[in-house]
Amino acid sequence: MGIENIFNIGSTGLAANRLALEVTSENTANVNTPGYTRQRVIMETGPSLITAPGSFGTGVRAEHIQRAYDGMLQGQLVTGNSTDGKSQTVLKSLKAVEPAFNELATSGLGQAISDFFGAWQDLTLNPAGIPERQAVLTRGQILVDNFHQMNTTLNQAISNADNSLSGISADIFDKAKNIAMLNGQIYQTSLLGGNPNELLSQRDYLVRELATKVGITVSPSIIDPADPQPITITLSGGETLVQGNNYAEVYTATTGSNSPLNDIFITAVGNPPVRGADTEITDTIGGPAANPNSLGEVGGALKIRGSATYPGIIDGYLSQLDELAGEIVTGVNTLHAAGFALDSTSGHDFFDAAGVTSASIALDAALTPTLVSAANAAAGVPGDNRTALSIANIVKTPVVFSAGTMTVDAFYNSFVSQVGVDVSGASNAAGQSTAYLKQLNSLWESNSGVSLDEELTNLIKYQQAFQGSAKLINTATEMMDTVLGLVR
Amino acid sequence: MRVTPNMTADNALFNIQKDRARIDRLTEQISSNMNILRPSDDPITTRQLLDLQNIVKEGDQYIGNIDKANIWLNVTDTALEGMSDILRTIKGVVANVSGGTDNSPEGQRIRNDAISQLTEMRKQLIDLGNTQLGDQYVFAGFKNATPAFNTVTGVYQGTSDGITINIGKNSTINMNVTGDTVLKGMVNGATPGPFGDTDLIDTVDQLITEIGNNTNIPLIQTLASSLYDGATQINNARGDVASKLKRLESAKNLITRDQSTALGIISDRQNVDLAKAATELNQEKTAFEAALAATAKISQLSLLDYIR
Repeated sequence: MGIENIFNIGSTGLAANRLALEVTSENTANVNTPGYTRQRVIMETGPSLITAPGSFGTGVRAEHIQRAYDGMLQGQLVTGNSTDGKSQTVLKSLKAVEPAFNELATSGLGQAISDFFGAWQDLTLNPAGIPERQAVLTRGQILVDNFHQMNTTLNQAISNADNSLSGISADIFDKAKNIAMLNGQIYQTSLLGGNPNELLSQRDYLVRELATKVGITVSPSIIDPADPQPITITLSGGETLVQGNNYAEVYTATTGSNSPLNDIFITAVGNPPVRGADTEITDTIGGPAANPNSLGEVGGALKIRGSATYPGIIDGYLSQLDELAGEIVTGVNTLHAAGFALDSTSGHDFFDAAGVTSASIALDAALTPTLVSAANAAAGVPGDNRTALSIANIVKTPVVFSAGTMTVDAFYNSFVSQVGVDVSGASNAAGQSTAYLKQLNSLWESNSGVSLDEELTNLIKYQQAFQGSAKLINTATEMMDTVLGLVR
Repeated sequence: MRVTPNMTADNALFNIQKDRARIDRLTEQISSNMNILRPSDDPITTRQLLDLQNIVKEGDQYIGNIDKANIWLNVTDTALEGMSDILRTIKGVVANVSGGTDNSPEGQRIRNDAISQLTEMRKQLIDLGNTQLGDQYVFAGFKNATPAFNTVTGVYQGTSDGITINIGKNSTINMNVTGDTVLKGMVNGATPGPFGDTDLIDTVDQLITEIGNNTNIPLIQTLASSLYDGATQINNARGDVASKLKRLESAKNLITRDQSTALGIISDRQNVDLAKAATELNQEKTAFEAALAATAKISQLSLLDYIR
């Protein structure tokens, strides 16, 4: 025990509070850094000395700098980000498709179908009239154009989703590389006894960002702050993406099973990874087998685009559109070919018989107003409207569709309604996943986020403690002067 | 729970976004006067609306058909009325000579007069039989691009087919009356027609011949009475046309009623209750302003302001 002990205690206080002020300033500076986790200095009393009155401490010691980390929350955020990534991607694509089906606001295919058969109705009143025949041809061409346009819109959605796969894959690769690099740095730092807090926060943030792109499994799922291990990241199909400071490349190529569309491949892990005999993971990257294409932006893009194994949402629309086109083409052609044209010839197709899909539907190349077959008998009966009447009535005759027997109109209307159901479902799912993610982010922010008020309070707190410690040294100096004065 | 300014900012932004979205939707609804702007707003009602719109569109088409058939039938009726008038004149002409006339120059003149009148009347009868609407001969059945009657021989050249058109979802009508049933009293060249079995053109032809011969008075009288049957035949045809017109009218009324029912439901579902929407918009606006004000106030609060 001696006055110098006050010096020592004062200096530990200066050191510890200076460190605490540094941490506070780091927190304050990073208040808006994405993924930054607030840190605080854990202080404890110095080792105690046995003195005459009893055991007594030797000041304060900064034990370590702790970051506010919740491993459970991190895990939930990974899942939440994956679900949200998928929901948002699906919603975005479907929203782009929906206007094509919006018969409520604009006239689209439904109107074109009505107009086409309406033109045949008009023809029944003047079967020999060239203007009426021309109108049938024009309405037919508009119908064909509408089918083509819908087909283009849907295929555009597929090709957009397909193109996005390359970007997403490159992003996954980039993030995997950075996580592997951080793995290495964290390992090195902790080996040297350093504090990798900020590297850990960066890695957590990157993992969450990666989860937005693709469904992942992280192990160990909870990091022990005392012994931060490198993490291993695996994809839904079990392929390793990151292991230690090794990582795999995820890339797209058009040489896989869905050629000419993109397929996703993954290399073996390495540093750097080398492309070779790589695994095609198109069917597994989007999510677990029980719930394919349910995770991450890549899952969303694949859910829209579809693959040979899991047909996409748009594929379903296309096949319904094709079915509709096919029924109209065969229905009209069968009656039309049996009918007779104005020049008493028979056997003319109205639509090109080869075009029974929404992409290939076309008017028959040889068709002219004269060859529109309105009559049901050969011999010079231009007033015969029976074939025209039969064709006009196709629209109200139930047809056997894969979804059941119904009229062309009803089929199209329920098709529109189905697109509406899909979009509103995707919209609800996206709303829910966003709200859930927001809640998780709030929890994360509550646990790990920097509060300026708190830091400012700490600033004052530590500043005053610093000033107090300085005062201690000041006092000890004066005491020392007093003692030395005694001697003089 | 620990609350950081960032949380407050995120929450405020999230809720402001939601408020904005609601206001945006209300504004869109009010400005477009549509409750359902896209299928995803309400897929089931969308389906109903589209089905109802189809009823209206189909109705428009049928009303178009009915209007055209109306013109057709009115043209037919006018022609039949003309035939009726001519027949009345013919009957008058024949009545003058049916008792037979002497062979004096005066009698000869009366007969020649009658013959020339009858020849003219026959021509007019055939002309009326060849009435056209646009390019179509209304009395010619399916073969309506060419005259229904040969202008020289008076032979019927059309067919006996009815031109069927749709005047409703499940109802059709034969909008034409064929010339053979009107002026020839038969269908398909042999069977007696539905309105009567008097061959009017042949009767007039025979009358011209017999009046010229002036020998077989009883035959002239028989033929004259045939003219009465012929008049009935044409009146029957007119009755048929009138009943068709009546049917068109009632079909049109039916469609209009269906359409107005459908339109009523559409506007009930689709048209925005402006008073309600405006009230909602006002509420949302107040809420939004409150949210903005609160956010602006709270965001400014910081301990910094109180530290010197």
